[in-house]
Amino acid sequence: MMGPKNDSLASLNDFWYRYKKNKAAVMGLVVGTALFLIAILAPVIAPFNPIRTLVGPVFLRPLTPGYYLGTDSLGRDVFSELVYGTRTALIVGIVAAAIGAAVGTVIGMVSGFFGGIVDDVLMRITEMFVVIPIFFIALVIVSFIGQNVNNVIMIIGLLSWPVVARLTRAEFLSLREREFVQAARVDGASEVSIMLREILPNVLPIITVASTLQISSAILIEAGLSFLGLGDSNVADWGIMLQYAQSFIYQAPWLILLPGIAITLATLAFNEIGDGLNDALNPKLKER
Amino acid sequence: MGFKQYAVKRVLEAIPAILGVLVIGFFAVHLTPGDPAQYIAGESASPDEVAFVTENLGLDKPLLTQFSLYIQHFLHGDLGYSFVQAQPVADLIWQRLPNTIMLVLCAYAVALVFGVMLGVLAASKPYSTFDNVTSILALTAYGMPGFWVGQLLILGLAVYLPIFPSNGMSSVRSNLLGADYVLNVAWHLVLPVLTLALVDLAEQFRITRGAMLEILNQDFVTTARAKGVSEGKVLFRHSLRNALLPVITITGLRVGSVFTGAILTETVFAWPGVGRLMFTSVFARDYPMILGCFTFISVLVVGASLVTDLCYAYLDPRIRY
Repeated sequence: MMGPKNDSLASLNDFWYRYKKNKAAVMGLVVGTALFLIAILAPVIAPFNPIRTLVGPVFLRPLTPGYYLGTDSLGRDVFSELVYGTRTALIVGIVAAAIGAAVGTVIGMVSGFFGGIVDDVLMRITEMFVVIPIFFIALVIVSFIGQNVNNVIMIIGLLSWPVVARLTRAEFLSLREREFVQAARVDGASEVSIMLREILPNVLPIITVASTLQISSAILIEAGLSFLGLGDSNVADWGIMLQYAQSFIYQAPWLILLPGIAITLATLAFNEIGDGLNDALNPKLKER
Repeated sequence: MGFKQYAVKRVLEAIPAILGVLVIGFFAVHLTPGDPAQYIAGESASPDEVAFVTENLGLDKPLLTQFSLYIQHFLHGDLGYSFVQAQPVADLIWQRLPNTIMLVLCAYAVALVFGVMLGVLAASKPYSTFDNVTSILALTAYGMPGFWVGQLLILGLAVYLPIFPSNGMSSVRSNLLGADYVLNVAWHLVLPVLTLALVDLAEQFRITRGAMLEILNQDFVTTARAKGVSEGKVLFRHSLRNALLPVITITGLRVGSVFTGAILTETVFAWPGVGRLMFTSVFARDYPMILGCFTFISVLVVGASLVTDLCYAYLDPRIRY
């Protein structure tokens, strides 16, 4: 038997071996890493404060000296806006998905483990959120409580749990009757300890994959809200950039292109990373 | 389970969802910082108007009374009063609804026809160049925000190549009548429909391709081919018929996201539908209007997915179990 250290190293190798087989996922990882670096190094990369207006004349064309990508209708530096927008998108996507994962795991765990009436009630609520488009709920609540980026993150997060909850529940339902759970029970383990120590570790791969995919949808929802005028004007934001660009589509058509490409790249990257994680963490699922 | 029993069960399942919509709408009002009545009447409302709102919605009464009042209003088709537009919210929504429905149905049709067709063709030669290219395009379509697709189409087909109009539903000051008017609307409809259809088309493509790949491996297909049935017939007659169930299921599941897309699409193209109404209300801080649109569209979505589910259950008895 191998020691624990070798063991984890071997499984990491295994993981990477399966992950890199998915070429799109490797590309997603490259793009994702690049976006992370841009987000972290934003103050170093961006020449201007992204939300400061009139750092130059308005509607400067791209490749004007000093302003790599020109300026927008309010004389903000487009390059700086894009760079700082990466930060906003990643924070919104990752934090919202994390909130969704946490809430979804708890609800799915309780629902699947205890079953019965608890399960019935929780699943009814979950189904409700599957039917009603969460974009509408987010739109209404954000417009009422006020549009700052923390509210937006909180609300998207609190609306992103149903997918994770359903998957977690299904896994708990099927695992709770397995031998290893019964063995733990015979050993005298408490219910909470069975849930958290015995079953949850087996469900984590599925939760990880689902949550990674949720990052993409959180980024898309946030972009949509910002485009509809519910963005936080105190931060640089790709959706807000597209909203401004819309009004000047005839004067400055080039303003439309880059923020949209950025959103697409970010969502595709996390979709592909999620796919790759799925291949690497749940290899059995692929064979089915 | 008979169809009737299934129908009753499914209708009963829709009720909690509608109740959920109402609860969310109700509490959204109470999440506002400050006096909800002031919010609803608008910033520039007179004290009389604020008092009227308080009275009308029972905002000075206990929460439970307020909620029952809210439900009663809803059941009477009263979605509140827009002080910004000085009209009942429900009237404004009903005026705009046909435009949204037209957009949504056209997009659905385009997505279904082209998605299924491309899916069948891609599955007929798996991993060919055609399959790879369409698959990558479908994947990209998932990542693109729908409203940006609309902006790109405007950029390409309205600004650079001025073929289609960039906004509105018909040409202003044209006074067209009859067939000319219909054609004019259809001309305005092209870009919004393409925008709204794209993500859905990608989804239909993916589902059809997957289902077809599975079915083309089955024995009866091999038999049909061995008997010398033409490839077109094998694909579209024998196989597609069996692959349609997942396609139809996904159509029902996507009602919500199509309406979400419609809001954003209508905003990009200034299409005078409910989505555009919601957008202008967000800008005008017209809270009763925002709330009314939310309630209305959500209930519509719940209803639409109920109807689609019932249709499939009627057509395919396997679903009922």
